[in-house]
Amino acid sequence: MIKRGVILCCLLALLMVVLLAVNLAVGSVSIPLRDVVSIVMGNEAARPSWQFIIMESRLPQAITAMLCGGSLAVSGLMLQTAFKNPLAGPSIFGINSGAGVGVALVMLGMGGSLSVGSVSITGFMAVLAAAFAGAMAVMGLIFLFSTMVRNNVMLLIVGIMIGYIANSVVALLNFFATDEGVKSYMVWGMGSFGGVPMSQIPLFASLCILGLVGALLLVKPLNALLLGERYAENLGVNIHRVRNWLIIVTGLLTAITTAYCGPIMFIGLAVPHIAHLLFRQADHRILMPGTILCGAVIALICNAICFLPGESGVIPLNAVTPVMGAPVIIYIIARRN
Amino acid sequence: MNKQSTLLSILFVVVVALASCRGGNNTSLSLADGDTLALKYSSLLTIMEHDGYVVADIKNPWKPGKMLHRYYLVPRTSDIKPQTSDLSDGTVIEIPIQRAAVFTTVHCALLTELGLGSHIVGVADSKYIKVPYIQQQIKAGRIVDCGNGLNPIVEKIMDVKPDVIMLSPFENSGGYGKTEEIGIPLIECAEYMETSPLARAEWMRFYGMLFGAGDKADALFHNVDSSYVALKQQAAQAGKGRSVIVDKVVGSVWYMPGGRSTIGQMLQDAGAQYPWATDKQSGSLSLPFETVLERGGESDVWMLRYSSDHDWDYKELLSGHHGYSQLKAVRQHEVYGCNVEQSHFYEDTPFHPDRLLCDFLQILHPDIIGLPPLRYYKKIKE
Repeated sequence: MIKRGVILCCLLALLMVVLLAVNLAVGSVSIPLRDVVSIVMGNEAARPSWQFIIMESRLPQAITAMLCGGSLAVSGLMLQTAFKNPLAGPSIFGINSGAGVGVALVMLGMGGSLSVGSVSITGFMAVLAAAFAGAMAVMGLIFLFSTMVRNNVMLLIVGIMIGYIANSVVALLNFFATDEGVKSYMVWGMGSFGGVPMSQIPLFASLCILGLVGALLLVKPLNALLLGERYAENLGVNIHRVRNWLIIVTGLLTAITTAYCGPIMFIGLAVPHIAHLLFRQADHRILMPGTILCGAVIALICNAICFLPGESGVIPLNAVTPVMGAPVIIYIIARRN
Repeated sequence: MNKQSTLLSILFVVVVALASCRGGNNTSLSLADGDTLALKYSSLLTIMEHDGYVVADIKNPWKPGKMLHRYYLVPRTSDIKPQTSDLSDGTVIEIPIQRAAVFTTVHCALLTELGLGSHIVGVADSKYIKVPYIQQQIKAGRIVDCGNGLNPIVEKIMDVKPDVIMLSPFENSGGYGKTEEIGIPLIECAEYMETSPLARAEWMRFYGMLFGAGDKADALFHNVDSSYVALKQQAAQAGKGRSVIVDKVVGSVWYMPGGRSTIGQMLQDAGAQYPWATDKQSGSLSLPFETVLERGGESDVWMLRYSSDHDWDYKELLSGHHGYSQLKAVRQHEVYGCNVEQSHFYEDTPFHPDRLLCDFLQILHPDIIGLPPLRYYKKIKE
């Protein structure tokens, strides 16, 4: 069983590399493959704009897609295991909505800039900071409740309620905003892997990798939790400490990805199910790296699909991800019946 | 030959019979008697003058061949009142309108310009109406804010008792809800769906007519028209203008005006070299940044519209997207910004396209001298 899992993981990693190459080669502007290879190898491009497109636009976008896909998928897996709920996902605690409130405040309430004391930031960085602050605020709130509410289901309900409150704040801001503000916010809400500039990739990647390592450190207690909370406790696992760590890790991953890419739907919910189908085992030692790889692969596929219309435009990311995710959920429900 | 003439005569008989069946005083027949008011540019609006009343037809911009709304404009003082049964296929409006609720900023600005501001009794989204007169009147309590234009507070509308409500129609918006049911005629201001800038401006003649200021509106339109045409000729004589890209990235997408959009046509009239000039879309194209960089990255000028409470400098502009620094216009500092919050771009340009064209000409043909200073666009500061 383990051997099969390892082989599958290797295959997925290979597929990920291939898809990474596809994402570099395919885009709205057609650049000959020879030039793409030459640019990636570090040679001068035939046209300076191509150099920028490959190295500063497509490469960071593909890296973002991989990290984001992996992060959201693993968050979904951890939450589904810990809460024994196949419909749990990174957005269930309202962390996405918290990020949404932050962004809405900046885009709709403050005209696109964020000023704290004498420091004022605008544009992408303002949105990023606001989203992160919003997401972390909700995460802090959930963490607080987690120390008070013992019951898992109750904690989920608290999370959903916080999400509703956040959404109503957004609705209110939207109602009183300018057309342009509403449009900016709507486009942000559709998600995109393309917003992270190359200069931000080191920070984004290190934060994501920190979260992913944190997730991998939780493999053992998660495996124990599969046996049921009582058994896990008998095995010496401190259930509440695990739950708190879990909230910190998934919260961090969701906050980072939402801040950089906007709320991305379905990947976190659907990919763990795809991984379950593929690996056919519950051992998180295999399932977790497998889910990370699956997430990266699916995000890369979605990113490539966004560019299908070619020169004439792009499809928003959140219009693509549910098409990949929803059929899987439906399949699982149908099979259970 | 014989067969053909027989067929024709049968057809004739049928047509005559059908026509006489509907009676002599039916509207469709009498409509043909009216004088069509010559509109030079509009493709959506037709105005016919009859004895004692005027018929204004607005075509449905989204469904070709269908009508959006027919209006019968009946003078209040007219002795010859048309029979109301004849007018059942349209909305009867008594002109001149005395009291109007105006839900769009552009029309508030136009009516104020035509000296008809005192007829406005209600507005919507007052926060965004940048017409000083309207703001004063709201403060003085003479104009009432009826809330959000898409979902107005019906009670407030009924309270100010307008003769009509002027609003923008939207495609598939599912009607106007309660606003439609309170029995106050709605004037659907569909001119924003006209893509030709002069066609859009020409609608002011219709609005003028509604408020009994037809002559004034005609004169204003004549000014706009002749000034626009003169500027266009000036551009044509100046030869090819500089190449240009328009607007900016929102989120992950660059919304670029299509070749047949109003902005696209005005760029053409200004003699610009616009990379999307041959495009056939009348709306905006949603393009990824790399497409814009590839096709328009080497354009001489970048003209963008943005909304902010202060004017942008380069630092602020470049913080919007990491790719902007790759554009030639940015490298050479040939970026012009129109802050729609600080200028009267949206209020002015629909009915004064000549003013916008003048800005375009000045930016795209630096060699033309003697034009007034830029009105909406400003060179982005260092």
